[in-house]
Amino acid sequence: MNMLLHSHLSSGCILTAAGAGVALCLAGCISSPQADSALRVRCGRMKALTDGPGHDTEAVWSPDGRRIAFQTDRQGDWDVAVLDVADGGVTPVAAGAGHACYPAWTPDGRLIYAFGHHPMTAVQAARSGADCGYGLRVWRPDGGISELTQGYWRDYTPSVTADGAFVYYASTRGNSGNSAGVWRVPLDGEARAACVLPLDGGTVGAVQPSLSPDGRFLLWAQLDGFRENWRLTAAAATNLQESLTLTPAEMSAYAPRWSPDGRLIAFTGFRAGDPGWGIFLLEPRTGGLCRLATGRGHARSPAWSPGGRSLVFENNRSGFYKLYRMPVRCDILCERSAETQSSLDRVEARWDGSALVDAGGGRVAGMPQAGDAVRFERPAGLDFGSGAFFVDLTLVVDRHAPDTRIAVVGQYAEHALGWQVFVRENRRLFFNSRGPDGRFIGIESDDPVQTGRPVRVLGIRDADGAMRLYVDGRKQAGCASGATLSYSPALSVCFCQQWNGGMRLNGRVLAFACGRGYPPGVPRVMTSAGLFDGEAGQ
Amino acid sequence: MTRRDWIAAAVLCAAAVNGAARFEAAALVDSFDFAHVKERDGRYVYDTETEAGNIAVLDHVLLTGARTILWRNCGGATMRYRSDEERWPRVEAPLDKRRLPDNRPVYGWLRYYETEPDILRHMLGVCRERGLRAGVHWPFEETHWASWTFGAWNFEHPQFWGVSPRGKVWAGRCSLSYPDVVAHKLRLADELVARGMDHLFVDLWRIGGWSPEYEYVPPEVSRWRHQFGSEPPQDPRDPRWCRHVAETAHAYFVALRARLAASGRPVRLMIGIPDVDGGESSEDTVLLTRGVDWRRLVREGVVDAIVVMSVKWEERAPLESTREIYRRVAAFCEGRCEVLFPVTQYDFTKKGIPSYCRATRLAPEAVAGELVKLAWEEGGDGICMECVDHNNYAPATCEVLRRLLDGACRWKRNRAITP
Repeated sequence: MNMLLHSHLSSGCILTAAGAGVALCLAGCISSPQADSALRVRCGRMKALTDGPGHDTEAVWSPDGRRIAFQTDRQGDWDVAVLDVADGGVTPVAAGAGHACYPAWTPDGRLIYAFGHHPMTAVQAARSGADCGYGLRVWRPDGGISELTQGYWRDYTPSVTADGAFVYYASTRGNSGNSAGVWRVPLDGEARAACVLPLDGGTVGAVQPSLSPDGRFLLWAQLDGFRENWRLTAAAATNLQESLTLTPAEMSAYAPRWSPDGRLIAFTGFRAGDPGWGIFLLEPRTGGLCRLATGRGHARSPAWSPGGRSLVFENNRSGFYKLYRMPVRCDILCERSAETQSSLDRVEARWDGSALVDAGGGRVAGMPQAGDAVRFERPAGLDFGSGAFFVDLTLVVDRHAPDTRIAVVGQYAEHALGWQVFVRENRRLFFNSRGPDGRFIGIESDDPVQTGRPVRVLGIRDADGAMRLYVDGRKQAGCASGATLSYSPALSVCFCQQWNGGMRLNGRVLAFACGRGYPPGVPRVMTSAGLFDGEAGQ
Repeated sequence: MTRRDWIAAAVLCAAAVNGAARFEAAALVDSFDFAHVKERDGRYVYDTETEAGNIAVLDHVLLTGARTILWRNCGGATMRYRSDEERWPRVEAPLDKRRLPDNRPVYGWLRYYETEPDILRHMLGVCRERGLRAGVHWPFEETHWASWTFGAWNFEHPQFWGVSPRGKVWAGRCSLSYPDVVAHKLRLADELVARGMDHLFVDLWRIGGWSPEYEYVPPEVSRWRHQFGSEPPQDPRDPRWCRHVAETAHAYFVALRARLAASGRPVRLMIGIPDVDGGESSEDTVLLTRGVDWRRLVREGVVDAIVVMSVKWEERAPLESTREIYRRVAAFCEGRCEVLFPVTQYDFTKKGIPSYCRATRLAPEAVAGELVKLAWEEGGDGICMECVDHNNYAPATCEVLRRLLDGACRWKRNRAITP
């Protein structure tokens, strides 16, 4: 028995109905702050595909729809196995010592998966020069297995492009922090793996990347800091630097999968008030969001059948995570992108060498401080509110110091160190803003600052609290979010020293400008219309 | 011998005759912090996933004169022992894709939670065999990334996650207002008791998520509405909200105390408190940022010892203001619980030995000596050394510490016999 439910998005609630227990599954539409459209979802009977002890997770449907690959820990560590959909038979394909996980099908029936085997302690491995990483392997239907990538890093969560040419995956290769970026490697051929989305620094990462069926968009789950939630993110495949966040900051969202027609995204999510992890459907153009009712237990890691009519996912109602299949039909009732055009209400302050000049021509003369430091009292044009703002300066560092030194700081009633550009003891630049509670949120440059030459630094706080840092025009790999402090008029701006006079920079500021919105020539925050419909961003 | 030496010797004799207790020297030790230490030739010094490696860690720690060794049970790279409570799902990155890998060699490859034998059980046993006090340093809600609260249990129980005033959920914290969460924490305590823990140090300094900010969960909000008939304040540092949250935290500590008592093992319960100024006010840092009323815990006899992690000493009178704070805290704890004062090389708070050095122009070993004597003279029951990493306490500092801890400050100060 199927039922149809449709609720207006503003209701904000999940509709479920009692009925035939697990067999009856209803899914209603829920509100999304950005959306004014609805999804209409019908779900069929949930059917268990695996049983017994051990956890079966990370299922993916084969292109011909006859098999489902998944990972299982029935034997202790993770192995990859294949389920025959018709008869339920399970065949191990990558078993034995070590962890084999995150399977992904190629169009011609091969499997890509991540593999790592670490029998030694970390120090023993380091002493012996052993490989401590996770690499990608290729399993062929004839039983052969070959390495695709391998090294002293972790490659994981692979996906294969629809044409079978490339594998996208998360990798820690070359990273130094708690982080992972997105890499791509040709499935066949001699070309080498390449990083397509560098993310490094403190607790930032992009995991489970996949290209849309038409090859135009890349989708992944991204974390911008340990205080943040995983969020779904997408970008044009040709320009991953300008990405669009698809899910709200309030919820945790990961493990995204494109539907075969590219119109929907299934993912694992949790919001305040949910009973546990759930399967969500997202229409990325409108932001329409729907949580499927999957009954008891957590439901995670959805994957589409080739025709897009069913989902396979894991659920732990039995005590172990086991695989379940559920027919799903989703009608998109409105595909109008829900964009809100925000006026930028430009306010700006620019240093002309002696004063900060605001957009109306008002001037606040700089008061020379010790060394090359300058202080401006109550300059206009720095009341950024809660919207996007930028800080653009050119500085020269003459000599590094063993501790932090300030290049420029904006002092506010909300926080004395409202935003800052500074040089850390590790000689790298840092741009920071603040969270609504005053919490420090910032980005570090990829490399140390060279002394004795001008360096252009551009820091941007986007309206959604995300942060960006450009050094000499190049976007830095670090990212952060949650910087949503609202700025009232500035109490002061200081060049080359802290607002209270300390932490003086061994150098000078050559040029400075700041303001609401974005400076000319800088990529603005991506919008749904801009990404999916090719319109200019805000 | 100088007159001062004679006096000290007399104090020692008198203390011994009177059966005075040993002035305690506790060390917070994390095997993880020793894992990357290398010789000049690049060889790793400690293999902290082995018994021998951790015994080498202990030998190094003992150079400070410490006699109470508090081993970290979790943090940095999740659990430090084979915890049943935190066993599933595998939290090793990248096996759980919600955890980002730590890419620092060799930190990111440590798997203490799979090590045989169980490191924590082994080292607690080694400490007892050597006549040391064996305990656990439990960073109660540490939420640096890769820390244990982003681990198995939290990831499996999002329904108990903290919620911000704006409705944002967060994996780094599960609310103690849910009985399931309390039960989980108590089971973790059981695991520690089963491994031979005699001293449990719950470190409120290490928070991240240990904050009223993420306590806007349905049980706490409902309790507020029921109690006050209004919506809770949206500012998580509002003292009214913090006191409200502190009631839940207090109930947890009472439950923990009872659980330890029921174990049949006399486990001493200690809590670490930061940013102490010695005064009593609603602006208490621990209350406003941790949601814990430590003074109430002391008054009601819930805890056996307070470990002061840092004090708000004044730049213009570093040691004098420290003494005043120590005096006030000791007076408050007198007759209620023991109190340990910090001798902290770690300077994250800008109140440790390096900051004292800058403010006083004294050498680190001189500052360390002064802090030991201050703690002893003001009636403290001992000192606590934080982050006793490899050579974090320099050899000269260790020498001063040992000399005092084995000499003039060997026994707790007895006011009746102290000159």
